[in-house]
Amino acid sequence: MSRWFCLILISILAPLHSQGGEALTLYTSRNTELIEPVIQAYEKAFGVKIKHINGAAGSLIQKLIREGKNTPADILITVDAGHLVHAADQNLLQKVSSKILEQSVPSALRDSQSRWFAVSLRARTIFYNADKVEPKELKSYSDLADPKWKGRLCLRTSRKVYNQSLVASLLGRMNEKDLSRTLSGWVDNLARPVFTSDTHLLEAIANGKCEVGIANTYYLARLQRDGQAKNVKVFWPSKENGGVHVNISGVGLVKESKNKEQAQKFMEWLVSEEAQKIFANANDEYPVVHGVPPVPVLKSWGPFVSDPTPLTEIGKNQKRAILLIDKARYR
Amino acid sequence: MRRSYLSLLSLVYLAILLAPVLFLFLDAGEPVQLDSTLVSEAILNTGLVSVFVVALCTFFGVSFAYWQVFYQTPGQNFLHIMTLMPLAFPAYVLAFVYIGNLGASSDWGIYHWFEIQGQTWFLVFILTLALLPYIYFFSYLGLQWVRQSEWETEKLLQSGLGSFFRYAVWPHIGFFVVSGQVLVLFEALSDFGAASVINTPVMTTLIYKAWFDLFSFAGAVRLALWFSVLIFIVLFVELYMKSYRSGPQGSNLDPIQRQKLEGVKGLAVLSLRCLYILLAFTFPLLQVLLWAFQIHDTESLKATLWAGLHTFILSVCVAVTVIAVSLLLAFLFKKFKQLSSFGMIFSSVGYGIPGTILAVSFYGILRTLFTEVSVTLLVGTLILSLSYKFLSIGLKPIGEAVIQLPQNLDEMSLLFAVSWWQKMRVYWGPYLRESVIISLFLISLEVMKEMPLTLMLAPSEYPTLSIQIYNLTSEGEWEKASVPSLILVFVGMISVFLVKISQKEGPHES
Repeated sequence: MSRWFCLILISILAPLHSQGGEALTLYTSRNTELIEPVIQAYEKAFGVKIKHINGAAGSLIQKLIREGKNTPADILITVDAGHLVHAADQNLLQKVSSKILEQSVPSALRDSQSRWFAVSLRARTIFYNADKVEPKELKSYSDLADPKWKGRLCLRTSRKVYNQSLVASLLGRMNEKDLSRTLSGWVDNLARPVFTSDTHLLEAIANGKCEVGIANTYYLARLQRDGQAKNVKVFWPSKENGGVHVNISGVGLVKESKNKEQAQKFMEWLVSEEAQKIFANANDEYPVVHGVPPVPVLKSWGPFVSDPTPLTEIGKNQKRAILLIDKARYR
Repeated sequence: MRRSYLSLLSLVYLAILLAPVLFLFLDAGEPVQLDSTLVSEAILNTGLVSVFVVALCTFFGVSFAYWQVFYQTPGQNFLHIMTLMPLAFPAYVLAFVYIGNLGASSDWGIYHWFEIQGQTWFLVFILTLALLPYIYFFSYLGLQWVRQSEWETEKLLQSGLGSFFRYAVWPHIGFFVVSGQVLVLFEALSDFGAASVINTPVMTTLIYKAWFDLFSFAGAVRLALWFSVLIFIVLFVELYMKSYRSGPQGSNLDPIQRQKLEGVKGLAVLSLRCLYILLAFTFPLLQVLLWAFQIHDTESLKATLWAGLHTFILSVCVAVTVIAVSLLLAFLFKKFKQLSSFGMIFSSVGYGIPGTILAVSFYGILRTLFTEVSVTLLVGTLILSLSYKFLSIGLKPIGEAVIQLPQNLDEMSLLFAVSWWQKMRVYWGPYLRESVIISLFLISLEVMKEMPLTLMLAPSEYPTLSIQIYNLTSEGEWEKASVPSLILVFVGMISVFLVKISQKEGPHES
């Protein structure tokens, strides 16, 4: 009995003391099944062991703050620019001087002080039911607040960071008063209460429970690959209407990393063609490196013009965005 | 022992118990940038939910217990156990079962008639379903004290049900009902998980939002401070009342003889009780089972297994800590009898404080003491804070068992000059075994179900079942969330059976 207890205790406590033995430690908010193929490919290619700790981005940032100089983390990967901006503001990330990263990642998709870089791109755009909506009826995110969409719009909960970032990006080109009006309009136009997931939202559009909504592109790619939601189409807001809101999966080098050289190597590898294909394709996202093609389903939706608001500004607007969201009672 | 030493000892004990909240008052934090309407809404919702949940649980809980004790219905014992069964469901599991079925993504179209997401009344509904068995169980115990002769007299006098309740029933069950109400009130005030799933702003979710969405720990401290003022008012009223409140003593030699409940009235009572069981237990259990069987994703099952193992280890660590502290305190109270009632009453302080407040205060203390917090330190703090919260669950039964230890055991052990450990094992062990085992199980279960404290303090390396449920439900992954939920529900069901078995069947049977 006591032997069993000791065995279980050792297996649980072992990770507490194994932190120093790993070559690289990743803190990542990206799902395990999406990050593991990338790690395995790197381990195979370079023989470097990588340990990854998954969690919500907010919790991982708190963890980095708590651990301070003793953190075992070398790299932070999040699925939203806002979290990377916050981590950089908290002085948790360090500047990376790398020609490879600077040449591969467009300037709009990296920190101006080179503390974080995008690895893949996700577009959060407008989707519509092709049986019920004509594309010419659609214009922009703020246009979805128009009364003509009353009882036709579906939204995901504002608790999700993706929507907070979308609103933060709108703050970059709208004043608070107009944005508040837009948010209230969205709430008034809802056909259903807010959804907890983009997948459920897209299914609702497909089933005609609502006609139009906002979601990340990869959710539709997954559904359509399974033969579902074929009647749901993508709409890209034009440049004149502010463009398409894009967010990133990004990577930053932790300030207190004990393996800076190895960590930088890994970051540079992430923008190689091989890694880009694995990283972006695993989740049907857009690669950030020019010349690396996206998966066919994304290609079939055609090109789009991104919202020019810098990601750093979006990150900095996030708290104000949350305040406006709460004021509009967008739950 | 000199009076001054005892006062000092009491003061130290009190200071340790109140330290987490005292920290909030000393730190005070700073205002957080939150929409004032949202804050007022959260305060109002917290108040409304607490009042309505207590009122509804009291009305239905006492009614169900009254019908159980006074009348014969088909499947009486089965109904009794099944009315207790919803205790196996954490409120957040019930919440996601209903949101998954009736919320935005459902095919039922129920939202056309009434909206449930973000609605305060729906949170009241879910918490009533989850917490009603507490008042039912306490009332059931209290009603065992009502005498047949009192009922016969009231029937002769034909003074009506209201009068019968006021004069013949309430004096017996008042203590029990109030105890149940206090428990329900604290559970409703502390709820975080159900409110998160339903997306209703309450004080606990606001504290989490300040810390983890707005990255303002100081803001979370300020909100926790406001909230703890309210909690402490309720807590001290409860502690004051507890010192004057006592349960009935002796035995009931004239228990109620159950009468047959027939006709429309009988059918109505049976239907109402079955409806409750259906809504609070049968339907959620079937739904969770159905969802769980749809999961074939091995990664997800592997993650649940790991989370289950972490949960198990955490609950064992907390339970062992609580048992050790409870034994220590119980023997201290046995030695210094003047401290006993004071010590026992104040030991329940932790249980009354919501997990979100405890997470903020324990983390605040940790941050004040250490500039860098390692995983080991954080795990230690989590175990400590959970032990603080669930201390009363261990101390109450163990304290009572220690007080009842025969005096001659001490004398015998002195005579044979045995060591402290031998004394514990050979002489006291047999007397304490039952209460220790029951406490161990109940504490473990509470730790497994606990959500906010674990969610806010557990290191990312060690997700538990409740953390996994929180993460999955916030993504609308109902099917995947049902697997860890099922584990919690099954362990909960075992504990309900355990409580039922260990329950003394009433004063007349003792």
